[in-house]
Amino acid sequence: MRMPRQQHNDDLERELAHHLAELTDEYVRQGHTPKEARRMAKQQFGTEAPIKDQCQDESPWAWLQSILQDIQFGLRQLRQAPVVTTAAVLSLALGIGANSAIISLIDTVLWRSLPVPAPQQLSFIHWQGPDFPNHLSWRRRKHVQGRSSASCGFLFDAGNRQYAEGDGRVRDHFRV
Amino acid sequence: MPQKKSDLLQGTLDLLLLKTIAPGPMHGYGIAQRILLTSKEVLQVQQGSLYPALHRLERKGLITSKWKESESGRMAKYYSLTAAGKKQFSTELEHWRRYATAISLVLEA
Repeated sequence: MRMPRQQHNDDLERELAHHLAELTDEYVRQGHTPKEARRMAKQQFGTEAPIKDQCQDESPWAWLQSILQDIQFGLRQLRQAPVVTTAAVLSLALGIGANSAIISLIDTVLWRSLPVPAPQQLSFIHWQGPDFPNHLSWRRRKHVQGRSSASCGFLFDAGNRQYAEGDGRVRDHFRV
Repeated sequence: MPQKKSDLLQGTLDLLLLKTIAPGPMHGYGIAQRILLTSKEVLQVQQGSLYPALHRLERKGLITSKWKESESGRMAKYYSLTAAGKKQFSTELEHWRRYATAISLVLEA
């Protein structure tokens, strides 16, 4: 970043020096002493700083330079107010942390599809009777293997269609 | 024509610069001198406007520069028109002519 800017500066300095030299020559040609000519040329030329500044603004790196200056200024200001800086950094950190936590929760719960083939075909079954869960735990307690049956009421809910099936008897339709 | 050296009308400097270097490469001092002479010492381009303008035109890709030895034996930065610069010059010249004609039409109505 520094190279082009430095080069641009040197270039401009040589360019302005050349202009000043030619101007001095012109005054010498008009019959002034070299010393006088030099003074007159300088006077006509004015100060170089504003010219350099303006040319700097025209350089292709002007935007980068001004961004760097802004960043430097910002860092200086931050260093001068450590309490405010700490508070700002902390609240940013907490804010970003909380946000990413919530987003990752929403991502897993709501956005990501279930890790099964054709998740749109899944249905919810709302068990309404006490029988079936009891039946399951009874099976577990008694180490029942294979077929068993239980009766219960359940609600079969597939997408928008929701229909109740009363008193279903489940007979080994589910592998437990 | 007034003998006083006058400031340039806003927006005409680029046109003058393009016109002045159109015949061939010139350095900054030469450009200022040429404009001063051809305008019969009316238009004096100050260094403070000249160099920023040249650098702006160069950045826009309308002119390019090259360091070369000048007639006085010094190294000088010579500016010349690019193809885009030539095109821009004819466009701006056309604009200027229409503008100047319109102004004089109004003033002499």
